[in-house]
Amino acid sequence: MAKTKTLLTRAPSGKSPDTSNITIEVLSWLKEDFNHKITDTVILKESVSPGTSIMELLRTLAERYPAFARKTFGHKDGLTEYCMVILNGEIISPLELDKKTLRQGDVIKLTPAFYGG
Amino acid sequence: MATIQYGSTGKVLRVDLTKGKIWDEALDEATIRRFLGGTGLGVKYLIEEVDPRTNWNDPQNILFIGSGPLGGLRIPGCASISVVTKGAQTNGATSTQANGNMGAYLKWCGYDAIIVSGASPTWKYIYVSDNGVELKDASKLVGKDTWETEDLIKKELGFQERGMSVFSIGPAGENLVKFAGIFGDRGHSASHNGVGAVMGSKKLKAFAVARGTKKVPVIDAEKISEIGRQTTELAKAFGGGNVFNWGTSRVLPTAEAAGWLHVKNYTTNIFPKKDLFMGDRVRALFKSQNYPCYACASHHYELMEVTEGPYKGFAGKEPEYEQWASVSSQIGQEDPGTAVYLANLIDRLGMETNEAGWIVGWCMECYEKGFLTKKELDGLEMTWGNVAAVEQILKNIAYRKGYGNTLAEGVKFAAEKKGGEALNCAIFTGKGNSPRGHDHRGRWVEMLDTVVSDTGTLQTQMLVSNSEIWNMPKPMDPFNWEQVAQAEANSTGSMTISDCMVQCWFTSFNDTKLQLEAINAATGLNMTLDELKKAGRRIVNVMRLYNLKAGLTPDKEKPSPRYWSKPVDGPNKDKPIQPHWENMMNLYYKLMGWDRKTGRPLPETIKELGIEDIAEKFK
Repeated sequence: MAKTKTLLTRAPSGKSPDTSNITIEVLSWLKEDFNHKITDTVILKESVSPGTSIMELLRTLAERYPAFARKTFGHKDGLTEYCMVILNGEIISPLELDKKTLRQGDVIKLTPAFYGG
Repeated sequence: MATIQYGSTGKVLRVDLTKGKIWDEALDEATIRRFLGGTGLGVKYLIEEVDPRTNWNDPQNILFIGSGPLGGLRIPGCASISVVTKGAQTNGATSTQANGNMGAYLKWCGYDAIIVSGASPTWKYIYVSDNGVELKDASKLVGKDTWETEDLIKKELGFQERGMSVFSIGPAGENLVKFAGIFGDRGHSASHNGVGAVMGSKKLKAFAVARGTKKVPVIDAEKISEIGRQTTELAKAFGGGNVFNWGTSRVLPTAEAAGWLHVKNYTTNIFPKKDLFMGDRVRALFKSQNYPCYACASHHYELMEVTEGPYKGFAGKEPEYEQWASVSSQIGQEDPGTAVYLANLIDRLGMETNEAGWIVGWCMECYEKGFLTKKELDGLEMTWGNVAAVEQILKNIAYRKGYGNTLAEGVKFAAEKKGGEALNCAIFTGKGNSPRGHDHRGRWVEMLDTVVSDTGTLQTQMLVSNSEIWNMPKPMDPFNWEQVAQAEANSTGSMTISDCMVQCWFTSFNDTKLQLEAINAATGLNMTLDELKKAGRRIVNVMRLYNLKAGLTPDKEKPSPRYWSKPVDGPNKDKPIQPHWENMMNLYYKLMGWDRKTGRPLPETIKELGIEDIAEKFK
């Protein structure tokens, strides 16, 4: 049975016109970079300012989680080799991460990229 | 010509099964510089000795099984083998690799490779040791599965588990199933494009290579040791160390999340039970024991005993990701213990796991939709997840019983024979091969690679450790057709270099710079980076020239209707590849320096790669 753990990294104080509340689900072995076991359920609740891009969100997460930072932004080939972003059920192109801004109720999933098999 | 002195034994073993003749042949330095070894060396023998118009099951076809310049050295992943032949599914050039120990053992016995020609009138196996080479009677092994064959040969010759490497065919190879493979060292496989059927056509049951004692001379032993350490560190670090610690056992749920897990024959991308197959869970639940290849410290490969469920007590190998997926999500089967059993059954029968999954899944979808009847399927109710029916149909295929005789020809043949709506459910390429165990509608570059590959399976892959030297697009949108064409074309040759080194991809990660250092430290050839990259691209283009003469045409480089269909759900549901296909192919051909109408490398491409002689031969 998978252990469920919900983290409130920035406790949202209800709907505010100045912030958007979003949900981030971390999947597979990326969970280890967020200090969890792979069998845990890792859900982060965040409040972000209007106009915040997905890339800005990822950089914020990287500041809090050094392993995530090292393996994504620290990788010489950049983010795309290690982490894939799914926004509201759709994979987001790495070329769009700077352009896509977050809105109230958005659900983001972070999953490792993997090639071969 | 000067015999190669370093990084090589300086010779290959030749076996003519028609005449029962065995002899040694010298390997020269110029050949290694041009073709590197492994896959490249096999391609050299194929193009020189097998007329492209020869059928795959003609005794004139050769079966090459060989190591590379790093084989037998203490560098992780370099004990693998590459198999090269004219394959049964595409009737074209084939290259497929297996991990394990045979590559190292063979070089320690004094050979870089074994090249088998002709066909024996009775079943044989080839026994190689320090003391020489023998063709042994294999009549008692006929009908035995691949694991039984390994056990019986070791027992007959008096070898312990690690004292000998045995690669054999199972019943599927004996019965010339078009997607039969070659299996050994407890479930490692060189299995693509029907190499096991080629072996069966020669009445060759197995290769048995003792752990020899001869040292492989190298030019710089200290540097080789250092590269061995660096390779281990690379493997530990790559992808957060997941492959090093977990092999591919954690991939299935990850694939589902990203929409490239194949579920029920591409009819959905949702597999709710995915987490049951997570490696962490399975390795903790079942008995699991690391069983590494020579010189490798990773936990990529495990033996496994099922401890609960209907197959409690069954022992075999832990399935690789593609095996897990083929016998779970692809066929609607949700029990990990059953997946362990079915994956091992496919290995033991001696079939390629992906094609087996595609064909079983195709039968299930067709049965559920009424395109195939219970009567046509010899009384089997092929409903999703019906394990008893799956087990029986796999055996029917391996022994060519009933409708299994049609299915044994592969997905493309069976679907085209049935026609109608059933044809639209089948996943294959126009050349006759089918994809690896992924939903490539979520991995466009691998769909392109599968379709244009000249090996019968993935040939390039986009993942290279040194993306800058291969000029890879960064950052890359995996659903941008221009970047996909660029990534596939620009990285052409990178994977081929690994296959010429015969180095496991999960230790090399296509690190071309490190491979350059390794080949120079081993052989003393002092190759430049440009020379090495060019050698990789040369071998790809040589195979292409051969395949064009063997019947390949550009119109065959196309996915089947289901293969390139639009996903109905999952994260890639609004990302169809089909509308972009023609533009993507046009750009890919242009970047490869190939003629779009004929598929042939252009004169300037041929000149740049120094293959004018081969182009002239196959014009």
